[in-house]
Amino acid sequence: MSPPAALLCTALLAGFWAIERKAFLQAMLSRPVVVGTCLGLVWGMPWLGLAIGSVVELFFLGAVNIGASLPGNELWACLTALSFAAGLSTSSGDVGAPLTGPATLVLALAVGMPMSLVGRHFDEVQECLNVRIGERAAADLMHGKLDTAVRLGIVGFRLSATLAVAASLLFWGVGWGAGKLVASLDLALSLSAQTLAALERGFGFAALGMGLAATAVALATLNDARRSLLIALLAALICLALWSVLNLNVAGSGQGSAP
Amino acid sequence: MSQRPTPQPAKESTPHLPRLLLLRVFVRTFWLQVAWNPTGMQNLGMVHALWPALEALYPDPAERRQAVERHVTAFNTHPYLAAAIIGGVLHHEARIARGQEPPERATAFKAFLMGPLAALGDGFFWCSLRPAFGALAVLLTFAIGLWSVPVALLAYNAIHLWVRARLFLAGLREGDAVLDEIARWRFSERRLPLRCLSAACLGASGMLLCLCAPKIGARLSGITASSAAAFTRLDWSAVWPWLLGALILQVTVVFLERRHLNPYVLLLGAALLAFGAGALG
Repeated sequence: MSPPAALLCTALLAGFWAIERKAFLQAMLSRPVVVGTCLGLVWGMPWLGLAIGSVVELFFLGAVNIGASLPGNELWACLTALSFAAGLSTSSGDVGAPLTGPATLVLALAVGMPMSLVGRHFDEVQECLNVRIGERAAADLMHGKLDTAVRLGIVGFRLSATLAVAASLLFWGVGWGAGKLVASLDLALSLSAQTLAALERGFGFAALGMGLAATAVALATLNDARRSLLIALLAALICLALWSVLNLNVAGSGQGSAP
Repeated sequence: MSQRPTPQPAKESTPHLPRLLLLRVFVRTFWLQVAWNPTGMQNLGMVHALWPALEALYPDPAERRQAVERHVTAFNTHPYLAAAIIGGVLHHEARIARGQEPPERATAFKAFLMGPLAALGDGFFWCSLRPAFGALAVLLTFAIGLWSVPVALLAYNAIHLWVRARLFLAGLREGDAVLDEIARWRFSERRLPLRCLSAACLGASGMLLCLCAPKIGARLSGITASSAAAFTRLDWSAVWPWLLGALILQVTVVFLERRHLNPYVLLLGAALLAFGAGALG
């Protein structure tokens, strides 16, 4: 898909997800793992999208909007991270090792995760605006304008959708600019091969560290953390045992290959 | 505090509304939170959902206005389980329109059910089912890759939409007796197995993330990972430092998160620490 077409798709999807998240259906379509995969497919980097979406999904797994508590906006985190990654990949092209794969993932998450707090702030603004809409609707009801009052309800989430679209486009631009900047520095030529290898290894480890930290945050935020930890440890050991048995069998039959 | 309304006999009180109209109301329940606000909460969404039925039940504008005013008061419950309340309100409104019961019955029904259903729905859907499917989607990624997302979505929404449709119809047919249908779903008892499933998926995901790290890195960057073969064979001398490091990192993050340290700081701190270890090691 060409960048303008992909940008249009991103904007349309961002608007839809912002409404689906709370105002319409709530069928998990706007969860990070779905958003990441869809945007990854749109931008031709499905695995990176899935990886970013999975980390954000795990990080916000236990965050629930109950009563007055308003957690960080996971959609904003995922949208901005993915848009940033897409912009970076589009502009940096074949810049070289420092900005491929794990490096893009780490940078995108570092940029996108704090944006969930900005998204939360806009959620609060949206709710305050909805109070005014409610008051106007009640006044219309008192004057017998039933149709108007009912229609006012539907426009409730305009702001969320508009801001999500704006944020995704803005962060694509930021990523694109960052990619151009890095490309102009020509890191592949200015840094030694040893430094490039160390950077690549460092970003690989950082991506793994983020994934593991997000899993741990998810475990800590589940109800009854002590029991959850025990079950998780047991499941991890079973997984290791299965891995060991299955791979030994594969090796034994002479068909050993990467998992 | 609201008193529990007296259940009505089910068969003789079933409202006669066209199926297409009922479908319109059901679809509009998806928009329940469209104008959620701190004062009226889901009140405008409620009126929006009921509107087609109120138009049909009350041709007289004055009566319709009174009916709308009954439902524009503050209302808040779980958006999925609200289908039971909206179905039940339709049941009562149909009877009110026929003069078979006083208007207070509909408001009492709403007031009685919205609190308990909010608690039940939050505990089951938001705190148990959604995390379980999120964790399952991530775990399935290791087995079926990108297909994990549609599989998890289909499984989640099969349950979600089935519950909504069943409860809407139960409320419509049985009115106050919808409580029995809700009790049959045993939402409270089903929370624990789902939470255990979430924890197990997270544990397995953490382990697979460590074991598949070289392969994931290779897939993300298109670079062949030299260490992938050592992990496939489960060469302990290559694998154990990873597993130990991962365990220490995860236990530390859980411990600090339980001590209310900012999770964003933990995530970025873990990334920095791992970057340093990778770049220097």
